Amino acid sequence: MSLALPVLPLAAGGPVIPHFGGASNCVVQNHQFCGSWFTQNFNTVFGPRIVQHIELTAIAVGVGMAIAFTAAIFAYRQSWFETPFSLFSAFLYGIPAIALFELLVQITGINRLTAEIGLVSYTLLILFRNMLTGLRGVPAATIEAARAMGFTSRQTLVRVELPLALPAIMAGIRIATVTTISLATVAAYIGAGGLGEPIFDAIQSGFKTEFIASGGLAIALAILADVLLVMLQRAITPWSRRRLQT
Amino acid sequence: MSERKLDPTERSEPAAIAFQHVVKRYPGRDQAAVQDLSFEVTPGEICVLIGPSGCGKTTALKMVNRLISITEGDITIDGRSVRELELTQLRRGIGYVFQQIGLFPHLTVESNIGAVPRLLGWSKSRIRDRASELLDLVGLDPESDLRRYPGEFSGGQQQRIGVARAMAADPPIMLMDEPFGAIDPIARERLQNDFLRLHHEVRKTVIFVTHDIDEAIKMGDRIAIMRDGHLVQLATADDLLANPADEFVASFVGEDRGLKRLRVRSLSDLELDPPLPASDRDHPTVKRDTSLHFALSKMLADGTRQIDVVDDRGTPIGSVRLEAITQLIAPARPEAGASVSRPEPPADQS
Repeated sequence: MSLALPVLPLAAGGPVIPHFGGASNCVVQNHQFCGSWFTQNFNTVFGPRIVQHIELTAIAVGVGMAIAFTAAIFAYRQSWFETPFSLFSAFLYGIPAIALFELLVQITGINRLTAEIGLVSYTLLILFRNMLTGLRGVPAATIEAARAMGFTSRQTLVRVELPLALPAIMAGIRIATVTTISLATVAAYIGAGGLGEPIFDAIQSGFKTEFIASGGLAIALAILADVLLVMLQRAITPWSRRRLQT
Repeated sequence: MSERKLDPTERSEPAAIAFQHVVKRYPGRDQAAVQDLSFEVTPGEICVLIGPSGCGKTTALKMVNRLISITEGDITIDGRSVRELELTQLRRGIGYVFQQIGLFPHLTVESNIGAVPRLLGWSKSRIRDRASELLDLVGLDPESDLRRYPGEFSGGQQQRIGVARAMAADPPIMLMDEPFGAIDPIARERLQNDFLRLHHEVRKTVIFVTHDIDEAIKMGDRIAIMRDGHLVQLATADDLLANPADEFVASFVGEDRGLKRLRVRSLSDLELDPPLPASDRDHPTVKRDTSLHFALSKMLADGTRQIDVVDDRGTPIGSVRLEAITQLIAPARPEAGASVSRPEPPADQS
């Protein structure tokens, strides 16, 4: 992403007129980071944006999951489907974010739907690949045992194949989530809200504190999400860490 | 060995399995994998299928629970065709144990054993009781092992769990496809012994596939030798070793088949001589139900030509001479006179 660009006007320095807050010395002189301005404006500027950002991400990953999940299970049963869906999702993944948003705006307009369509399309490749790899990695012997014991193919999928694919699926969800949190900042470009909004504001105004705070919050959000997902993964796959000690 | 314990786990009666002109053909292959296979497995016996790789033994086994479909002919269980039974119902009534074990790594031992009972709708407490009971039966500790995951056990222990899982819903039939093939020799021997003991307590009709003739001799009430999809000979181990049907069977069971035969016969098959005089009592002794193979090796190790046979309390009840055993190794010679002709007195008086 082209977040390197705004550094130039910022580095150029010089006093600017921020459009938030009063006139603390730190803010007027546009220091690197004004802690008091950040705390004073957290609830109005950042709080709602964080919530929006989480919503944007959760919806994108959730919808992406639903699509990739269906496609992966279908491809697992009908292997011919793997190549076309892989190519399709790789094609989407390959389009630069700004270009994709521009393109979508022509069709669906400047709104959150457009942003979500874009974000979902970036999750598909990772989620689909990981899910399919996870399902294919289930040991043949385990599946044979399930069949021989009289599991129906649906019971085998739900009780054996999907649980065993969970580590790979969760790995995919982690990558997709972190990627989406980062990409969602760009979605502010087409009016999706979220932490991208103060970033774009700061680019325009050159207000360093706002730029660093919103960027830092996006990074913190990504790390937090990743940590929570790791904890979730450990909680739902207790068997994967318990091995014979020799 | 002789008394049959009635175990509380014994609920269903073992079933009879009949292969009736069973043929398996794979598309695009000229030769059928299984050709016109007909034989019956009697209720409660362990019937071993053995033969070189590609002989069709595993294919034959897997047609019973229809993991492989039958091309022609039929297999019946207690007279009912497996082709007519509902697939999941058929399989839930057949225990299946195979070389790769195939435990569910994401489920605890309890849930692994409880897999089929759960499909059958058993209550949680009944599944737990059953799992504890079976774990105990296969030699693991219900207290500590029920809540552990398969990855925490060795290969031999995992297959014990595999056997327990196969027996969970008390199926009348068990299919075992080289169950101990991937297990190290010491653990394998223990598993074989434990399974025989288990089978003695809880009678199942077992079809057991192996490529190891020694395992077949040890495990099988009867042994079916297969070659190129055909059944070549079906007989007890003793019969097979004494009277191989053709050159193929003879070479398959091995040049040392006479020696192997000693494994399947015990001292109770022989007429005993009177016990040795009390002065010779420092020699090792053997029990009446000891295999001839073991008795022979005891004698060879001790350098003696006659050994005392004792009862369970160690009182001598007779003795057996080396010649009485060795003459069985050459089955062509008449067996008569084995216990009549008097050999020279024991040479070694250590």
